[in-house]
Amino acid sequence: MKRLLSVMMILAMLMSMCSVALAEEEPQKITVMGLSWQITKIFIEEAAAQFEKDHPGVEVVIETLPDYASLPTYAVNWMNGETDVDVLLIGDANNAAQFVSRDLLYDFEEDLKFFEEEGFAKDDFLGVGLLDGTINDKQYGMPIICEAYAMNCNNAAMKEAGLWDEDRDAPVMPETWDDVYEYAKKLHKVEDGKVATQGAVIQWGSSTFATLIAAKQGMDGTIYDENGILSFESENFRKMLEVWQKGAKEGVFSKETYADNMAGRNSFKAGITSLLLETGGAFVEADVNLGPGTASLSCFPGGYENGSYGFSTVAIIPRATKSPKLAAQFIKEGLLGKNSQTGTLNVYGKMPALARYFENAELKDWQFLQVVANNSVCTPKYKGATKLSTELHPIIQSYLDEAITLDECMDKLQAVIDSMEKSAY
Amino acid sequence: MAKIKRSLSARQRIKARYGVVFVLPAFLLATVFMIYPLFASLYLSLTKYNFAFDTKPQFIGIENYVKAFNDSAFIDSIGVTAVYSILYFVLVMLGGLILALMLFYAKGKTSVFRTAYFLPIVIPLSLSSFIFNWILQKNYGLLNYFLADILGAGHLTREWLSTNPWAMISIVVVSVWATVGFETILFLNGLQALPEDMLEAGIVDGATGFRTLFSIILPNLRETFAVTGIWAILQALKVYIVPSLVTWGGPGTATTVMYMYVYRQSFTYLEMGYGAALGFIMSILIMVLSLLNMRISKKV
Repeated sequence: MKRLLSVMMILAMLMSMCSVALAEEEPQKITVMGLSWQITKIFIEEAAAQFEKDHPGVEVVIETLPDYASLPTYAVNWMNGETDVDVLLIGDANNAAQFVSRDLLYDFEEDLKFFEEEGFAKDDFLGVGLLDGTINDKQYGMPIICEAYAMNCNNAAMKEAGLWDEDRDAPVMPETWDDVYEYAKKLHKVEDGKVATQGAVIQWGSSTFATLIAAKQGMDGTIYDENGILSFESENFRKMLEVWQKGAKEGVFSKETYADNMAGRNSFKAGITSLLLETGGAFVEADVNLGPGTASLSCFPGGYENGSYGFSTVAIIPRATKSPKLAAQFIKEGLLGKNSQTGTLNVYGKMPALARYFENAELKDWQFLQVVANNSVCTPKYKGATKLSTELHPIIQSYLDEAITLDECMDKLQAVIDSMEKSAY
Repeated sequence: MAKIKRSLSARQRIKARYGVVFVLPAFLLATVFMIYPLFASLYLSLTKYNFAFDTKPQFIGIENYVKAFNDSAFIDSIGVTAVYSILYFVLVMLGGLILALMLFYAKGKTSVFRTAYFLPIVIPLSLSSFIFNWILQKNYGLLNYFLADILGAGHLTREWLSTNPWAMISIVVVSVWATVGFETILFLNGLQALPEDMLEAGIVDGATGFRTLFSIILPNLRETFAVTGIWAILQALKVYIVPSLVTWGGPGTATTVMYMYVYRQSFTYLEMGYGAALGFIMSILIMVLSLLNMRISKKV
């Protein structure tokens, strides 16, 4: 009898252990959320469908994030241990500041052991992508797609102006900003008082900070001073601003991005603009719009050697999720899968986060941009980094419009940097 | 008699109870969605609270208000809003009045014109702002295309959105286009409410044209002026969408208005305490100007 009772007790214990194990098993449903363009350009719907097919019983729901202004509401939910999203795509790691400061996110490296699987080691990623997802030395953001600033060129215009490097079979690379000005001047055409071909468009809208970082990194090989703090002060930088002002005054550098970040890209892919200095992937849009071989890439002065400005769309996983492993698995197989990564590269001009997918690139310019991106730097991970995207462009615009002097401009740029809280999150 | 009195007061008591029941939902809604948020944000304005980095608000008294009046960027944004508001107020009031007078005196069928004037109100302002942002672009905008390629006046083309003073003029024109129809309808209602015999009496007394307008019509539109004036002031001071989407606040900070600055503090920097204080300053400013408008309208 005693033996029977013992066996029954052991069986009961085993059963209860099994039921605990089952209860602890993750729910097989995850919700992936991103901005509308991210869902389209990363082929998330296709990735979800494939993931569901590969894992019967798993459900992937896709929802659209209205804009990043709604992120604080997620922080409130996550603080209460609740979430209706398991994978959230955000523009760059600075958007994650409010979550990181409250320890609301999984660290992909420590918590999820993401890099331990073959094919997903840190070395497999594009350097600038991982860098952008790193906050406080932890990998809170997993890069999905990357971008780097470069010089998009209209091939026909460049050839006609004699700005084609026959050896490289690519547009010539400017060595200085004076060269960029000279190129733009050659390319700029005015007919009957109206601009027929715009020489160059430089991104001077709300992403001016990116242009400044890209230019400084290219020219000086660093964006930091001897104390490791962001600084734009240098002789090269001052000279560049003077060239910018001259070009803007003469109209060879257009100011149309002041009121619309996309204005340069729109006029470039319409064939109106010859040089576009902003995200390198814009040349693909012109290729799609105006026909294959229409556009290609060159770089900011010094950018090929020293790098430029890079950024990425990163995925984050909240600690409040009940399915962190499934979420990480979807990121690996879906968002970092071949279909999404090569699709976004060849169709939408977004660089893959995993370097191996550059081999699938249909255009040779991608390898060029890969080199630039590998050496590129991101926005510094300062608490007050949002000031860069809101306060720098009015200062630069004021200088370009001759409302302030060069010294005043440099002082104001420095004042913004000084006023930023530069501690990490 | 005493019995009737008692029964009446009992009925009144019942009525009063019903009254309370009927008023209660509105009172609760107002408390939850208006009164509580008002006092909560008033408290918030007296705290230092960065939503991203502070765990809870820290009471700092009137420091945010002092900071606001020493914040040169905020003062600049008030200046920009003042310039915009003056231009907008004058143009929308004059435009609305002139269009209303034209409709009033055009005795024929004016429904097409009324619809045309009112149509921009129906279109979401964000949408029309996007469209104007395209229309006014330098290189591929329709306006420059029209000027250069249709009219052959290339010398008239401009960088409408990225040069001074054209950026400010652009947002004022877009705002007036979007709202003048509403002002027109308000003025027209005021005109149609004028007693016909008063106008006829004026004509009998020999008043014609501008004399009728200045001596009879306008003085009798005082109440309409008060309503349209307050509406125009509110529209002017709370301007946000048009400069945000048409000029993005530029060039430089030439069109960065108060609301854009407040939005940036609250929802970009997540400085909730400071943002709330700026919001209260703006509300007080709007209230003072609206009261001033009412006083002036009454005196006139």
